[in-house]
Amino acid sequence: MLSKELSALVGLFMMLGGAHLAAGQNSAVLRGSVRDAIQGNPLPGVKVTLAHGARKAHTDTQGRFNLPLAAGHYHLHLSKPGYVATELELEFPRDKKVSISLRPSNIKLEEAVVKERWDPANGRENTQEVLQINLDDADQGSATSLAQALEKQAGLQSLNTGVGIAKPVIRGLLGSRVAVLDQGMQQEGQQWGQDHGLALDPLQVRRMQVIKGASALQYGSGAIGGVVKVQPDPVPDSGWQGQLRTIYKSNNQHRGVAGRLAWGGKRHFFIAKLSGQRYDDFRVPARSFLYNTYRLPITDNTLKNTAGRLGSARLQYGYLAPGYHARYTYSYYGQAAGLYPGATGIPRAYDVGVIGDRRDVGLPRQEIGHHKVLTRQHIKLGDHWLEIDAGYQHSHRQERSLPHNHGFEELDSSQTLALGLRLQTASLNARYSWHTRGTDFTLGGQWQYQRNVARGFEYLIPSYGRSESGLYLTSKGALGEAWRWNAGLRGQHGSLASPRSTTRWWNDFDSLVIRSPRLDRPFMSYSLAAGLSYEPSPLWLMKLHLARPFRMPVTAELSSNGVHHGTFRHEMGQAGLNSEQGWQAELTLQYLRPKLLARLSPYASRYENFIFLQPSGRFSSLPDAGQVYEYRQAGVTRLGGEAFLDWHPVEPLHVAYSGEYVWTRNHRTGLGLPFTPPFSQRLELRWSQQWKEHWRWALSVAYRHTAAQERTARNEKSTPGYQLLQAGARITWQRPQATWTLSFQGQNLGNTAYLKHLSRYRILNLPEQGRNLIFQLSYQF
Amino acid sequence: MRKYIWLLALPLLLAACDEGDNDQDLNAPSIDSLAIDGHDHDVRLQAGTEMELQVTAKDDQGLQEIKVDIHDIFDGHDHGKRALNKWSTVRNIPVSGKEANLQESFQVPGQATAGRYHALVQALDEAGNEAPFKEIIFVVENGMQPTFNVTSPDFSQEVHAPKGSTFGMQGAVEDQQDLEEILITIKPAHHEDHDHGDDGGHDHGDGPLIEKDFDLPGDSDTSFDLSNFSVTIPTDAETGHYHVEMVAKDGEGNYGLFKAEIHIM
Repeated sequence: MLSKELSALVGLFMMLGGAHLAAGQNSAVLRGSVRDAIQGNPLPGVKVTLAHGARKAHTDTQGRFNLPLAAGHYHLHLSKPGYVATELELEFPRDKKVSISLRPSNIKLEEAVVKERWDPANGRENTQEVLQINLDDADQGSATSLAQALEKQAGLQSLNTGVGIAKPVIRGLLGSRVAVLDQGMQQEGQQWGQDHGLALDPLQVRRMQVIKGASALQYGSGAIGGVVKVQPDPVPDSGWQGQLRTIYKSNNQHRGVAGRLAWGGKRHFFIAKLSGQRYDDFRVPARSFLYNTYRLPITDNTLKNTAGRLGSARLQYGYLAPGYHARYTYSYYGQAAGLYPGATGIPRAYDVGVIGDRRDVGLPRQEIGHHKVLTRQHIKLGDHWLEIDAGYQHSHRQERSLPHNHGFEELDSSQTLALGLRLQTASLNARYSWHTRGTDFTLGGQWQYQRNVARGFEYLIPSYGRSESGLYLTSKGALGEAWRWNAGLRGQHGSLASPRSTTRWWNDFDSLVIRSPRLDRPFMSYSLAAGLSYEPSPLWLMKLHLARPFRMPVTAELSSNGVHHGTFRHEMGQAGLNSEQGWQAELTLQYLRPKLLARLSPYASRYENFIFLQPSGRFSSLPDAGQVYEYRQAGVTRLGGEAFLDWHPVEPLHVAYSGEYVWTRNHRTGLGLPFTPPFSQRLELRWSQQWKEHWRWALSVAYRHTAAQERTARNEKSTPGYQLLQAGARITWQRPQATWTLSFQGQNLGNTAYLKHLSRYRILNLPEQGRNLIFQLSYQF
Repeated sequence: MRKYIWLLALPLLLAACDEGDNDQDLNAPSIDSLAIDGHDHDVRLQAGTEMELQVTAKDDQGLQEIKVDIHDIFDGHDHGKRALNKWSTVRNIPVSGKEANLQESFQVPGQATAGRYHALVQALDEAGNEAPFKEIIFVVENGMQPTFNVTSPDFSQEVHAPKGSTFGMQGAVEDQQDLEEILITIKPAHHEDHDHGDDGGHDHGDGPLIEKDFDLPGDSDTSFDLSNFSVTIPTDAETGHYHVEMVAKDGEGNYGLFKAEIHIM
């Protein structure tokens, strides 16, 4: 009954909250036992989770578990460290008792390390390559942005601006081509902009899934290049749990503190997470840089005004009952990040040479405030599941700089708001799944509405309203023992409307010019996908996935008309652009032995009308601006692949190799696409061991080699290759009541001065962050 | 399993129908010379007069357009007050052929605020390749800007300043209305805001050797006594030629500039 009161309190979602009254009846208990497949002995401590919602159980000392369930079709997932994770499909209450054997894996492979998963990530059901990423404390704390935390995975990169601002890049695609979902809801925050980071704090994210290919079918327009899914936190065990940790990074005097408090009851749980971080200007291993044939100083190896502050909070309440699960989440992300002065205008020695206060976040800077309220509902209706994600986000982005630096002489210097973008997004997703005649079906609907209001003395894009709605059907099934198939289709309707936008002409107060014409356009699209997987033996798995994804243009591509300072480009939208469509083929070949996992994943895609910025061959008539770049459409081919190898010769040792490459071609220009990641490979050695009863320690060393990127778009600079060395150490002291962990990580140990092709500071020839020693201490109870 | 290896080639089929690369012009044009009235540095212009900007640009295929962007570079010492008559103008000039020699005339407005300006020149070729920009810095005087009357040392001779010694000046900075701020710096002689790197750039380390800022808060400070400026030359300074630069700003936003050379030994 308490659940009723609480869901009433949450008011906002009352309608959804009430649904569990109808569901959740006629529950019975599923009983299971788990054994070791070789020894036959019962296995205690096996985590048993359900694919829908968040129900879970652990096996007792006899290897037994009980799960209260309503009637229906279920995917059960079993995992235990040291065993190969296993899935099971069952029809309840027909299958009231199940008996499962787990195959020991002498190795802790990437897949098996997974503590808990909802969906079979790289299992045979999913025919795309899906990475299940579990960030441990050290991973979370060592990255200042979530995109950075993804970088060590093959095929994933980040496009960064200094240390605090970054967005994920999947196989060379980014921005409005990569969807980031937080518990099912697409994160919205001006992702079209090059130096617009992702407003998600890595300290708040434990588990992610990354789909490395076209996924527009289920996730809509933004997922043409792939999806990063931030997954809900695990349901807390019963009683109180908490964690407090501190982070220090030597390079930029980064200080951070994060806390987590969680409580789990029989049916209710809540999780609260808070974190705050601040860092000074970062240091690079160079004393000068070459800008446009001029040599400029980097005083004291410090990049002026690259300090930042970051704070985030996440509160979650959840309710679990047989046949009904709900989570309500509020999250906040706030950031102020300084920009190197040369990133918004011509760098001058008198300016960049005097670094001033290393701690303050001066001008120019970005200020981000992102609020999010969302709910996930899993409702069992008869034998079938209805899943609903609903939410509202408010993203407020402010770019501040001195108006006089951009020629706005008439403005007072206190008017620093160059560009203010206030984006509100409401979204509603629903999925209804059922199982009939050996086939799983999901019917899904997605709806999103956005309003964006632009302010500030600069003009880039107009205010707009945008809506998208899509309906899709997916199905999957088996053909005999070895073959699995899936297929789906989607129809989509979208619209984008913006009023005619006028501004004064630069400094002339009495003038009025049209910057963007009125726009009101509908967009219709469709998407198809089908896949096959073949598992002839437990050793081999082969998957083929074919998709026809689409992407609706964003406002910047249709209506922008303004100068991007730093590149000096005058970017101009074209109101007549159509949705992008293409074909994509992905192949995954996996070989799994007890001590070895090898995976090869080549892909190819071809778009008929990829949207890109084309140099027009004429200059902008605006002051402080260079060439006009127009958004155009052309055919594009992308080819590439990743290789991954995880070898485990002896119990404590892990050797992991990953390599990635992507080749792109714009058919109109014959050149590559901008920001295409260069060939890169990474080798990591990790030794992890138990010591005495309560201690565990680990040592790791990683080497990355990134080749030069010579294949660039017009006026994009090629970037030389580089090599980086990283090392880490960790010691954990585990007591029944509490766990202490001390971890250390050294990044860029050689203090190498390197340029990153996917960095906003690349055009200035500014090297990336130098040697960085990261210390973290965590206390967990 | 091996019999399915051929499947790996499937994705490549999509690429097979791609057309071949065409010949690409990827070479950026270059701006080879830039001058005002025949001078490429230390240019002083009087408000109300005409100046001629001379640009030479080249491209291996064909030039398309040259842009001239003139505006002030009164650095960051503004304190929120602004001169409202700063000169700024933009001109886009269509060009063609493999070489362009431009002579563009500009009228410096009679009311232009005095101070440092630059003409930023950019060039494009027909394919849209961008030349690295070039700029020329010049000083505009309008007769109202602060003036410098240095009586000692005599900068027409070589001035020596031994390390560890005290360096000072005699004389005055004067303005008809009101002086607001005076900034005096001593920096290595090759240390300009933008130093040309003939070999791809020189490294000349950090900021100025000495920097002193004087704020004159009164409403009618028409004179500043230069004997207020007295510094000790650091003993660890590098031996060599240095520039003594004085920038004085008046209440109208006009800047007066003074530059001389000393030899630190």
